[in-house]
Amino acid sequence: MKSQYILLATIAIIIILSFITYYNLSPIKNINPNLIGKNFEDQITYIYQNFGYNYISNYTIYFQNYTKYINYNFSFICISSYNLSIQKCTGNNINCCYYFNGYFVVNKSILKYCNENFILYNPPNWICFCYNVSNSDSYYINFFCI
Amino acid sequence: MRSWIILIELAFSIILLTFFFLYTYYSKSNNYNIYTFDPNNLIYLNTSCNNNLYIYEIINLTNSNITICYFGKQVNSTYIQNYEPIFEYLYAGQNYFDPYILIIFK
Repeated sequence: MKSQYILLATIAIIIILSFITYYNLSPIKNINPNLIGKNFEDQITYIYQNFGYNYISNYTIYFQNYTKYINYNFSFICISSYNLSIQKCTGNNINCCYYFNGYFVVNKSILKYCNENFILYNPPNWICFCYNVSNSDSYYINFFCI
Repeated sequence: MRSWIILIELAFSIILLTFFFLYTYYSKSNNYNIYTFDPNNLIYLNTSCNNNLYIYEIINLTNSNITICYFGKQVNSTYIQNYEPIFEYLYAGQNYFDPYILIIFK
């Protein structure tokens, strides 16, 4: 008699677990930080090539809200010879830009997440981003210039 | 003797149900291989629902309009309740800056 109760309880637990797994595979689990990072990178490049640099700051705001909505952490540091109307970096803040005229020394202490080390000169004009996407399981960091 | 039969029955049920559980878990995550979608090929999906290959939702971030297209026709959200999102992307816009989120369902 006792074993039959255990059997019923086991069946019930496994059925409940199956349902939880079935309904819990939300879009967030099917997207990873790598794909979100590539989304950001590709669209920033697309905006610059097709709509102009004026729209970049707008897109970063939308992107930050979007990543927050799907439970991801997203932050970036940018270096630009254009004025992108993203707030200026002061050394402590994130989601900000370093604006430069002439030349700029890129190193890890500035980029926070990315381990890059070189000097940018303008012209040519530069927009570079170091970004970090993470969730509770994994993270993705990358540096790119357009 | 009777208790032995019950114990074997119990063990067999647990094994069977565990396999069922593992099967549903893995078959589900394997079916939705997100890498099969190339964002560059999906930029042409728009709110006019003229593509009859996909079930998709477009959330326009400028005016918060939500459009759901079900194999080429515009429908309301009740049509996609039993489908699961398999791809998500935040596009900046097609011909001009007009950010929108594309979600493809399967």
